[in-house]
Formats: sequence, C-alpha cells, structure tokens
Amino acid sequence: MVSAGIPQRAEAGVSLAELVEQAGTPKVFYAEPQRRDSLIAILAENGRANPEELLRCLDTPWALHFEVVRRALESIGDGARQAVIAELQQKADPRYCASLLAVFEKLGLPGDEWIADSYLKSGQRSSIIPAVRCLAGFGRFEQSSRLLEPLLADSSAHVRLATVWALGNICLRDSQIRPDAQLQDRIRSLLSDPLPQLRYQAAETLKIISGEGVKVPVPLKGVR
Amino acid sequence: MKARNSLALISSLILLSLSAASAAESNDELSKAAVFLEEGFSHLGLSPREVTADFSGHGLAGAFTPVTALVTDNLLDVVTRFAGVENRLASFDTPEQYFRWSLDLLGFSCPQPGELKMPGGMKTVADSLDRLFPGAGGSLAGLVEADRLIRQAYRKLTPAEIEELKGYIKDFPFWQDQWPGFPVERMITLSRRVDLAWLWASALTAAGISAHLQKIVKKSTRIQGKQGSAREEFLLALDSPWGAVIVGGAQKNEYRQKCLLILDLGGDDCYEIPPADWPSVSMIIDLEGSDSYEAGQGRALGGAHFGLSWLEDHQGEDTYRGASFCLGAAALGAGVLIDYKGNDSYQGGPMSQGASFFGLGMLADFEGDDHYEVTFGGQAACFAGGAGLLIELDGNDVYSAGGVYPDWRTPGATKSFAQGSAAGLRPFGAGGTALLYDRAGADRYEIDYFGQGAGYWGGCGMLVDSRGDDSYSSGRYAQGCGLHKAFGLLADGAGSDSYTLGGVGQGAGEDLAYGILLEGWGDDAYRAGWMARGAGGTGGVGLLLEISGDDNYETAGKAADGYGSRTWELSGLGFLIDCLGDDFYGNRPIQSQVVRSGTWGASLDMPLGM
Repeated sequence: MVSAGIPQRAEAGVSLAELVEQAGTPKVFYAEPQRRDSLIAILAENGRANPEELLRCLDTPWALHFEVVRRALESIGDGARQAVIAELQQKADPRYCASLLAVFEKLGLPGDEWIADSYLKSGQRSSIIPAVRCLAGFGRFEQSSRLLEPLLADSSAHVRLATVWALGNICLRDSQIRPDAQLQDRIRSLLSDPLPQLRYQAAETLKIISGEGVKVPVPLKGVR
Repeated sequence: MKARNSLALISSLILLSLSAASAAESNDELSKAAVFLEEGFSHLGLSPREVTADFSGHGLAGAFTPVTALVTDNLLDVVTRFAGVENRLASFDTPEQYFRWSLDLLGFSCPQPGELKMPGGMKTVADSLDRLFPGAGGSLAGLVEADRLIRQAYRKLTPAEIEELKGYIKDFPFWQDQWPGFPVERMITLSRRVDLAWLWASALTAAGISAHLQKIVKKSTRIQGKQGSAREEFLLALDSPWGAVIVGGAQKNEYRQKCLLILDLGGDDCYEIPPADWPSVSMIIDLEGSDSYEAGQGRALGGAHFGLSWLEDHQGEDTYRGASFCLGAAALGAGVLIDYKGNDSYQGGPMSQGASFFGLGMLADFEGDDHYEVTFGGQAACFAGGAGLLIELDGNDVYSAGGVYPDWRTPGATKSFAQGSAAGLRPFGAGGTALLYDRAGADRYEIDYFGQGAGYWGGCGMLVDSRGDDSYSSGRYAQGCGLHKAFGLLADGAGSDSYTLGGVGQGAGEDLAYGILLEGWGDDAYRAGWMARGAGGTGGVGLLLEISGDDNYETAGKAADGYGSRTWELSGLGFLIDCLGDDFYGNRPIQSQVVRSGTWGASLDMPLGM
C-alpha cells in the first residue's frame, strides 16, 4: 500500500516495470497526482542504485509509462545522467536512443555536447531532432554551434527549423554571445525559406542574437 | 432462360452500384472558401500555399488513411478539396454513392464482381423465392457472390490467424488510452492483411441485390395476395448452405435467428438477432411497419466481425437498440444499416451506428426526425483502418454520444469519439476515416471529449452539415480538431448555428495536424475555452474560416482566436478569418481588423470577396 505523497520503498518483489505500470495508468497519472508522484518517487528511489534497469523501462510504446520513467530519471539526477551517457555511447537500437536523447535533454549538462555529435551526423531524423533539442537544452554556444551549423542547410525543413530554434535558445541563455558573421548570414538565408515557421523562427533567432532580447513564446502546456 | 435473364439483370444492377458517381457541383459560399482564404492570407503577408501541418518528413507507420497525404498538403489545397465536399455529398441520393465517395477518399479501386451463378445448393430455395416473387430468386446468387467477394478480403490470413484475430477484437477496449499486456501490435499486423477494397465490393454487391429485390417485390402484383394470414408465421422459410432464407408477411413477425436473407413485407415486427459467426453474410429488408430491432449481444443488425451484415428498413417509426458492432458497424467486415422513412430512435453501445475498425460501417437515414445515442465510438467513428459513415439526409435530428467511459484528464469527463471521429490506436495503428454527413434540418450535436470532426493519430474525422440552424456542443477536442498527424474538419454550409466547446477545437491542430472549421452562411455564435477558433500548437495548423453572417464570438480562453503556440521547435500556426458580416467579439463590434497573436497566429475580420 502506498501512502499519498510519502515516498516509500516498494515491497519486495515489486519490479520497476510494475511500478511504472501502476503510475502510468491514465486514472492514476491524471486523476490521482499525489499517488502518481509518490509512485514516481519510489521508482526513483528503487532505480537510483541501478538506473540502467530503469532506463530499459523507457523502451515502451505507452506514452504515460514513458513519462513516468522520464520523471523518475529526472529526480535521480546525475546518476541517471551518467547511465544515459553510457547507454548512448553504445549506440543501440535507434528508437531506444531517440528515447534516451529525449530524457537527456533535461539531464545533460554543459560539457555533454560531445554525446550529441554522432547522433547529429547519423542521417536519421528520428535521432537528429532529439539531439538538436539536447543542445538547445544544455549546450554551450561554441561547442554546439560548431555541431549545429552544417544542419542549417539540411534538406529536411524540420531539421533546419530545429537547428535555428536551438541556436536561438542557446544564445538566449547567454546574452554575451555574439555569433560570427558567417553563422548570422547562414541564419539570415533562412528568412526566405519556403516554410513560414522557419522564416519566423530565423527572424526570432536573429533578434535574440542582435541582443534585442525577444522573449521566446511560452509553449502551451497540457494539450495532449 | 428466365433465370439467366434475372441473373444478368442483377449483375447490371451490381455493376451500376460499382460505377462512378456523377455529382453536380453547385456554387454556394462554402465552395468559394479557397478564394476567401487566399484573399484573407494576402492581408497577413502569407500565402496559404506555404502553410502545411506536417513538415517533419516522418509518416505514421502503415496508416490506412488519406491523412498521410492530407497533412503534408498545403492549406489552400486542403481547403479547396474539402470546401467542395459539402456540395458533392449534397448531390448524392443513394447509399452506394456515399460508399463510393468513401472508397475514393481512401484511394481504393473496387474489385469487380464475378459472373453470377446459382450454386446447386441454393437452387431449390431460389425456385421457391421465384414462385413467390418471379425473378427474386436470382438475388440469392447475388448474396452468394457477396459472400465470395468478402472472403477474398481475408485470403491473406490463415484460418488460425482469423480465429486469433476474432479473439483479439471480441472484447477489445477501444476506449482505453493504452493497452499494456494486450497484443495490440499483433492485432494491427494481422488486421492490415485484410484487403479492405473487397469489403466495399461485397457491400456494393449487396446494394445491387437490395435494389433488385425491392424493384421486384414492390412491383409484384401478387404482393397483396402474399401477405399471409395472422396464423401463418412466414410465407417462406428454407435453409440453405449459406443460411436460412425467410419471407415474412404483412402481419407482425418475430425474428430471432441469424439468416442469409430476411425479407419482410409489412407489420410491426420484432427482430432480436444473435451475433453472427464467421462465415457470415446476412441481409434483412423490411418494407413496412414500425419495427423494433434489438442486438443485445452486438455483431448483428447491420453489424459484423468479419463478414457482411446488411439491414434495410423502408418505412415506419423504428426503434434500434444494440451493443457493440451493430446498426451499421463492422470490425474487419462490412456493416450497413439503411432506414428510408420515419422518425427513428437509435441506441447503441460502443462501436455502433456507423463505426468501423478495419472495415466499412455505415448508417444511412433518409427521412424523419431521428434520435441517435451511443456510449462511445459511433455516429461515424473509425479506429485505425477503413471508414465509419453516418449519412442523414433530412429531418431535425439529435445526436448524443458519451457519458460512460471516463476521460481521467478531467473529473467527470467522458470519452465520446463520435460524430465524425477517426483515431488510430497509438502507437501501433495509425489512421481511420470517419464522416458524419447531415444534409438538412435543425440538428443538435452533443458529445463530451473527442468528435464532431476530429482526427487523432493519423485519423481523418469529418462532420459536414449542409443546411439548418444547428447547435454543436462538446467538452474538448472537437469541432474541427486534429491531434498528432491527423485531420479534423467541421464544415457547416448554411444556417445560423451555435458552437460551444470547452477547449481545443473549432479549428485547432495540435502536433503536426490540421484542425479546420469552415462556416458558410448564417449568423453564428461561438463560445469556446482555450486553444480554439483557429489555434495551432506543436507544429499543427488550426483554421476557422467564417464566410458570412453577423457572428458573435464570446470571449475565449487562452491561446484562441488565431493563435499559434510552440513546443520545442515545433511552432503551430493558427488563423481565424471572418470574411463578411457585422461581427461581435466579446460584445465589441469588430470589422476591418487584423490581430496578431504572437508570432504564430492571426485573426482577421474584414470584408473579403467584395
């Protein structure tokens, strides 16, 4: 029996997968937030010693199960980060790696940019996009922009959009950053991109770079 | 010789059913939507040709849906295509034309039936039917052909796989959000091997048989003499290897068994039909009387798991009740219910009243003020593959769906998935196509969560209403709403309508999806919560295009009225375009104004097309 709001160790024999399933039912996840959070806390506590086992629970088709595991990993923090890096270095199944990268976006730290490198060069959009989002989440400008710049001319509009957005996000974190003229020109060339979202995003990133301090619109929450 | 002529006549009727429709295109305001859209966008410094919902380059695995192409199309092409749909649907007057339209939408080409042959095992029964109604016996050869055609749909499955699949779909909880522990992937993999075009071929063949039978029976000068007496239960009741063939007279009859053919000439009849077992083709034609239909266990009365179930009622105030997969619903089969006249009442369990899972489900009602109630997944609903259609051609109708299966996002909320609702089984089975079309009358549409022209996970859900002062009411995710690479459309041609929505809809596209509400002529009233009236999120595109009339927009919640929002790099685009009329927003008169809602959306109210 789990008391609402009080993290406890799960009873012996209750696996991480079972905890994920319990917390990841729509009823618990949406309608019983205290119970959900309590189960996630137990999951994090039990997964702390062996985060690799918890990572394997990311390989699920069910969106709520994924979200439960993601939250547990975030609450573990650095131990989970180390485990994710180790797994990403293995370069296993692309779908699993995309899930790991989605988690790494929140767990990664400045200095972890190198882990995104091979995924950015993988040629697989399912890996490229979450890797770009990772750099947007924690990347330092110099290291990230070197990795991202070639993607501004990618044949995929989605990759171009993610890249120009990520550069804007990175610059937004540090107002002292002034990208060189070549990078600015490359971004400026996207002002005539056929996709309007890309044009708008390029304009916004240029405004951030020029130091006008444009606020990035807050993403809408809860529409799922 | 006579028998051969009869078979040739039926063949020609079937081929007529299968031939292409010629639909007259009229020219009302909705059909000019694309012109208004282009002119409106010119004031935004943007072309609708540049706007697309899904620019990701990723498809959803194996989607059996036109959505894959639709969401990557530009907004102008999408609106052009669907603005004409209302006119086209309005011009049809037979069920077959709606079948064919859905077939075109899905991009299938329909296999042709073979030459009709009367099998030896059916000859005696056919002769008996001929003695009652000369020429009618040949229709049994048509039903045998329908049986052959539908079996073709399953030819890529072994008998063991069919049994396995039957086990999966028997009690599948479509209303759940996820199915851990259930072999959904396997169920979808097997279901994808069903060749859906053959289901349509079988249903269209049945349409031809039905037309043939009606012609013969209604014209028969002997009908008066064939009505039977109060003591005579049936005029004909014979078994065949394909099932029983029964002809009931004009008195009240009770039917309690599944048959190949029930032809009832009149009387207030009672049908309580048990579920059909594979292999299964059944046809019921009731010509007169106020009848009671009940399928307490589902899978009957125009409902099937595998096979074809056809129910047709020509007159009377009828009552239809059933559980799952009945009243024009099918999983991996074809279920059709057609009611021509009378004020009728329909009550159904989950997946009924124009519902489908990898199949064809159609309910068509031609006349009368009708009342529809369904618990979940009906009144034009489709999951993963095929089409769910509800066609209503006249009368002031009430549609109501939901109230049983909780949606845990909000206390007390329930899932409806109805009234033009198409949804994939995320993440394994994308797709589905659903259309609710209502041609005339002041109608009331009520749901809770999801529907009234909504698509989810590769689904293409549409509600099209041509005329009448209608009211639309829903909780969330409705009234032209697309979620996750999907397409949702509500198109209302004429009439002063009222729209009420809790949130997410009235032209809202979320996650690389299109959500579109097209409103033609009339003084309309809009009430909405958040993310509505032209709202796009996470790369999705939302559009509310209001063409004419003095409209009233009550103050909406957040992210509404031409609003785009972004998650990660995925910026959605939202547009509200009101073209003509004196309009009010939150009790303030507005005209000739463009409002930008952040970078990603705009609302525009100015006289266009002048």
